[in-house]
Amino acid sequence: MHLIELEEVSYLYPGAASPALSRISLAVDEGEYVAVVGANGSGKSSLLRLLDGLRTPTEGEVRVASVSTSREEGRRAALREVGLVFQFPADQIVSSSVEEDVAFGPECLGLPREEIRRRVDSALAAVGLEAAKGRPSHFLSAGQQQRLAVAGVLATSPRCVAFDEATAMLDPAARRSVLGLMDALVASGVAVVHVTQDMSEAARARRVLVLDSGRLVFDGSPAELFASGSPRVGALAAIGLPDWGTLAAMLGLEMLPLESPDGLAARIAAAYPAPRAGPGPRGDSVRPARVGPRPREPGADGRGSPAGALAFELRGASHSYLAGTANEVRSLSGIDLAIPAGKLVAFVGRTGSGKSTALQLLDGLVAPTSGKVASLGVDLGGRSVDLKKVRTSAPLAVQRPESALFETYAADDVAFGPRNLGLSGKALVARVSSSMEEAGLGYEVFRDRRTRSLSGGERRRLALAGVLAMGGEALLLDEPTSSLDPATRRQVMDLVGRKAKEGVTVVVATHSMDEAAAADFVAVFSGGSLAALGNPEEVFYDLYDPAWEIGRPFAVEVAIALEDRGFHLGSRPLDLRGLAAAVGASRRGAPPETAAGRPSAGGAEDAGRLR
Amino acid sequence: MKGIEFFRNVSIGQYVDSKSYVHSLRPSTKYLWLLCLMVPGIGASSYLGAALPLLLALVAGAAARIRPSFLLRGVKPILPLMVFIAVLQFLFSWPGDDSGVLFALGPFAATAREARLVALAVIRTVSLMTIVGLFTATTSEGESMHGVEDVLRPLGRLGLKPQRLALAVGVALRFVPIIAGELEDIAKAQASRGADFGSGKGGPIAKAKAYLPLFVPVTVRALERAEAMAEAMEARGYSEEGRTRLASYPKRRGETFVRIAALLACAAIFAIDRFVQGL
Amino acid sequence: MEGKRTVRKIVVAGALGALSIALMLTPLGMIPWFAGASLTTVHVPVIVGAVIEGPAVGLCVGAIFGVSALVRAATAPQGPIDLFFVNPLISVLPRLLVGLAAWLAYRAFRGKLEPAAAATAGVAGSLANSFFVLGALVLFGAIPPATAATVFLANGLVEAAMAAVLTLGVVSAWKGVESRAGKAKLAREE
Repeated sequence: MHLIELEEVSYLYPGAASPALSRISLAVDEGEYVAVVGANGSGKSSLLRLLDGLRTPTEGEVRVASVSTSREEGRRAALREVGLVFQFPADQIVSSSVEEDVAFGPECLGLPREEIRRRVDSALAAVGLEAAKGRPSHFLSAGQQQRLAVAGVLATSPRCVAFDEATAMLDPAARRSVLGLMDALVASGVAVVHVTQDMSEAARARRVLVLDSGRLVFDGSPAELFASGSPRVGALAAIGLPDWGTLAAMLGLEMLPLESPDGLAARIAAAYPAPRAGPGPRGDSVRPARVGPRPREPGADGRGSPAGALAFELRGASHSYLAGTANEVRSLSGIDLAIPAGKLVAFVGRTGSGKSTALQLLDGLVAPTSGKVASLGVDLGGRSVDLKKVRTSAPLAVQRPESALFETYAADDVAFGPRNLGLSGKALVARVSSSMEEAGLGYEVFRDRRTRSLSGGERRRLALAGVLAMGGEALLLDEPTSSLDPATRRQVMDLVGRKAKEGVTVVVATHSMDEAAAADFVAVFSGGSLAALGNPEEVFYDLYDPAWEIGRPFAVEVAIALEDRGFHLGSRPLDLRGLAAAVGASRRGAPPETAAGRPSAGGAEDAGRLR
Repeated sequence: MKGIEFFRNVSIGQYVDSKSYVHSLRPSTKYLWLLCLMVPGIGASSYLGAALPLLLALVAGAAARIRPSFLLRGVKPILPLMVFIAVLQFLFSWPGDDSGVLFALGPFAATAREARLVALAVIRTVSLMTIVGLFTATTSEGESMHGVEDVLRPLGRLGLKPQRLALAVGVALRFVPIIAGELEDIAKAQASRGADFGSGKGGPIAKAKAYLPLFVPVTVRALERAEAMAEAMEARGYSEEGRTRLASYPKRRGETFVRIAALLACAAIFAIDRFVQGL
Repeated sequence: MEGKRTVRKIVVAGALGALSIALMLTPLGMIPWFAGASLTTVHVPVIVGAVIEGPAVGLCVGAIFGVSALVRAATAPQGPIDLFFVNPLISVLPRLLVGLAAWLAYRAFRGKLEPAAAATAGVAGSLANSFFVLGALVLFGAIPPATAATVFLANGLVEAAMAAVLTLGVVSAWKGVESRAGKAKLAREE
């Protein structure tokens, strides 16, 4: 008997033109590990809600433990047996008390107190949060909150836990811990269904379902999915292959469903025997001796432009939240940072390392508790500083900027900023339409669309258009690609690259090391201090410290693994294309042509499309 | 230079866990005492009647190992405000006020009746402040929520469902830091686009319009979050019937006496109040 | 499916209550008026709750708002009025009527002219707030009627106009109510 069964299920949203799901038939058994992938709008979320009993199909039947969910007892069975973890941790936690929150499910089931206590304790232990028992839930980090949400679900003892893009909002370290939880669940016999946009996450499962416009187009193992020549791969074009798959394809190697950088390096070294020589013609080597303390100004060591105009400068800047009260929390300590004009700078670091605060210091949205800040030539500590001018010349797009959309119609929202600057009439319209076009939203098409009816990716781009419309000489972006689907992510990265080429100073806080690798300079934040500063090559090859917990671009990991096997590359690539070229070049024994410091912004993602 | 920063972590009251007998009493008992002190505090019309709840609260505070200085800390900041209120009273006069004039300054006269009103208001305020302060100091968030449910449970027989209100209160407390944080983020986002939230010129309509870019998104976000949480609660099997509770509040020794004492105290204060007035 | 609607109402009441509290705790709950006085928007979530989800939710949000105003007044008072908000008959009871008034006003116009309905609810709810709070203050001898009337005229009417704008803004954003002919305002600039 299957745990969950879908038979010719279709689902139509009330008032929608076409069904979200069409004639899906599948079965999920106990202890399975299933990933569900598909582009936005492919019906993934609806599928989960049908599994859980939150919705019932318009046609066909969903059966959980052999009872149809179209009947009341079936619905209740589904709610009990299938738990659902959502994308935003904070919206699932019901109580300010960790214990009370986990107890919510068992309380609703009417279990006796001792049983509830037992379940709460074991659920918290299962997710590794026993230590957090007495703390208020809003003091937990995002990763911990998501684990708390899982605990709340586990307390009802479901036989299957479904995750609705539950890792999308988390930084890489938190993501890893949740993925580890999924592994543990499967190991303990609980089925896991993981909806994700990230192919490298999907590849961890034992079975992958691919949805395309509401139809199930693939149901099989990851290996079968990635087998070259598989027709299904076309449906994945929008999502992209995992990094190891892309690189394997570029080098003409067979794609494995799941591979570590080391494993891939071993296969490359075996396939491309290369001269095991000393340092190449340029004297570059993947791993030089550790260098001394870095200069505080990027470009001061001769690379990049000489220290001309500085867009931003922080000298000994520190910041604490709730300074002077009992709850004071130090977020930044003694930051020295100078950002030259016209450069693209990436701020990286774990969530909570201070990069968001640093961004907000740059344009005066928060004031430092000590130290100095200069923005576009203006000392922000000065007496009669026009803060509004500073903030609008270097506008900041906060995390998830689409939260701040407020106008009914799209174009009006973009017009808000320029209007505040005094633009009107034809000039205003021109500014709005050009910003929208830049963000990939055709003016004629999107002008009169309702903001609330736009998709997540469209709303993000609309919010960014609003910030672009300020026409500032600098642009500050806080995680502009977070929780976006891969297609929109590429568009935003292209946009960032284009603005940087136009001479706008762009500072981007990001969790994606591939994005950071595309920048001119990378600043690493760790525990409130600036841990490293330099161009991407220096940061990822020379200065890198695992204690930062940020990870490295996949290409860098493979390059270093290759070097360890004596396979000498002769250059220090930062993206997949650069690495493939370097491997090819070293095979021919010629000095590589790759520009070691300036990969193109869209490099890694472009390679996702199979030729 | 001013930055935009709020208190994401403030709470409304101040819970102090000094683990006393008073703290260990059941939430419904605490609510009962709250009520039995507040009602005379509001309703008494003599100085003594209004002051007795204050004294009782301070005594109870001592029993709860909470210093009187902590409970009365809110008084000093409001002294200037009290003066302001007194001035307001004296500036405007009550119709039909023919009590004796205490002193006069030009056209404005301070009558005995007004002075009495001010004095009473002051005592009453300090009383109520202390009572509420004591309650929040001895009652945690969870207890407040469960207490609401327990106290209103009899209303359940009338067809109302108090557990709904209790849950709404719990959700509200849970959401406050999140929404405060969102308020801050939206303020920053709009400040980057040149918003000033109505601190500029213009009549009320114009100011309200300038406030929309802050108010509308934060309210819409609150509603969206509510929908998401409702779905999560449903997925966890929310039901109203047959709910049990993890937290337990066992009856303490002597608790019945404590509850009876509350009612007696309330009655006694009113009796004294009457008595004093008759003098 | 009964449970679905109730859960939603409960959580909406909680979220809007939290919004009220958050507005109360930060300077963003006020719009500067003149001579240091300011207009509050703290009561608008109560109105929004009543309009969007009904009188029960309006009552609930009103209760949460009133009680938190009381607790705030007792533990960390900010202004002269706070002195009296420690009295629940002044801080809580009138706020229960805000939601009710807003809902009644909304019902009168609903379906006939949506934008007017939302705006009227805003006015009604805000006036109820001003009127009943000031009324309670007078009843308890806190301020003389003349002062109350002055404040009502100076502050109360203006706040009502603002509440109308804000309520309409939220309701049209949330429900997609047609406030214009379906085109962006920007069209007027072309």
